Amino acid sequence: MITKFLFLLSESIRALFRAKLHAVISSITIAIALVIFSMAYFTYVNLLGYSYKFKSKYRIEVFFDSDMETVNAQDLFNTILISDGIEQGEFIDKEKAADLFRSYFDEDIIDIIGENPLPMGGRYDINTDYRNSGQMSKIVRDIRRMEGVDVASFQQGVVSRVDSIVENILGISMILGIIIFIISVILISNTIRLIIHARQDAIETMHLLGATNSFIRFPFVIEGIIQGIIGAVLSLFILYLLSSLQNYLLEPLVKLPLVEPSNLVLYNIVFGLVLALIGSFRGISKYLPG
Amino acid sequence: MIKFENVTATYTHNVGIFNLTFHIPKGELIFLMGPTGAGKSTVLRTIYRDIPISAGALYINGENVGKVRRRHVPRFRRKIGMVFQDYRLIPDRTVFENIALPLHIEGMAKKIIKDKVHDISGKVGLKNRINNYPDQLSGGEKQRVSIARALVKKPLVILADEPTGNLDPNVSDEILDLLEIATDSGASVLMSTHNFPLIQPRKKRFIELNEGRLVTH
Repeated sequence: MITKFLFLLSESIRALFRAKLHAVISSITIAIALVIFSMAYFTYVNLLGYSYKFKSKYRIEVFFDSDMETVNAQDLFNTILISDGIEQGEFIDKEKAADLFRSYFDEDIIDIIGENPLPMGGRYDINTDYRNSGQMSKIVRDIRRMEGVDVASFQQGVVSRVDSIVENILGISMILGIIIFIISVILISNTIRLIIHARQDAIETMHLLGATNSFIRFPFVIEGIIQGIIGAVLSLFILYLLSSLQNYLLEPLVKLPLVEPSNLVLYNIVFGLVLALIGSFRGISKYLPG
Repeated sequence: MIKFENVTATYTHNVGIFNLTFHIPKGELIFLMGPTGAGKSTVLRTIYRDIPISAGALYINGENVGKVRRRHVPRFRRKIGMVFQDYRLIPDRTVFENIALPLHIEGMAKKIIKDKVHDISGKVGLKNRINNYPDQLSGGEKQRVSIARALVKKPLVILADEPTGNLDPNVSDEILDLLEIATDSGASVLMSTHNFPLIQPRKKRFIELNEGRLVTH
């Protein structure tokens, strides 16, 4: 068993060197697929990052009844603060409300009407998991039911819009990812099939000599693994060049804080191996009897 | 060793072999004669289970070939040595590697393989060509490699499909000598040919086919 394994392993490595051109073509195909996939993933991660950043500004604003005492208002503020979905909050007393009025309208409310009728209230930041229209509407409904709450609201139109944009990005990314994956598998298995086609006679001879399917398949699978790793390393090198080019050309012009997806090296190697293995299995299956 | 009992095996409705019955004992060389399309290759392909048997029974060393399960076909084929008209050598492997292939398939140890390959290559006169590639060999030498590859695993049966078809008469005679020597180890050899003048002087038993049916036995 070990003798056979070692023989097949050495055969795989020798086969790679025998068909250098084919191995190079196959590795380049894998590398191209990985570069496209990585770029799509990079775009997706960054778009998602921006959407998170935008969503972190989501707030619910609450106004209490205007005749409420400060102590009661603070109690109510704290009650809302411990509600599900609330991350943190800021208590707005009458003075702070007047300051806010001044900052918005550049006029003092007391100068206009002789007193401060502005109600106390609170501004609440939302937990990450609750930053969508549905969850925020529910929080607002619950707050509105509380005694002493006059108004509770958030910018539902904007939140709904952002939600739908993020959902679309996610959906399109997923569809794109699936399409790229399928195209990559077809492309790679066809490349490998072409390579195997050139060895069809040898495969047939081995069958006649009593070789099992796994004996014939093994070197192709090992070759696939090696080509997958080479393709992944090549794709990482291309991505590094593209990243350097982007830094050199774009960054002075557009100040976009782009995020490098973490684990890209691991993803590329794993994905390269998966692509190569599926490609090898699909490629060889045509030439092996069931 | 090889026993056909009313064997019928067809590709399509009317092409194949029909109701064949004959027996090839252990250690005997028998020729399979007939014109092109007579069914000679079909007989051989039926033996190595490349074509299914639709009626009758075929036994190799007592084993019913029709009952060999699909997943056991590779193991079954290891008992058979095959020699082809077009040699079927793997072009990017040396003579040594081509001869050693069936032994690697069986999972033999490197040292044993080395000894066996050197032994058999000496017997077929290829000692000096062991590191050459097939495209560096003559037709006769290629067929010797093919025979060595068939003999190296000491098979029960050797099937030779027109092994002299591409060779000149002198070389063909040498190939026949080698196949005859193979019977010394107890293997049954069935060789298909349409070259009657080549086999006539050998005074061996032959089976004649025409349109898939037995003519002379």
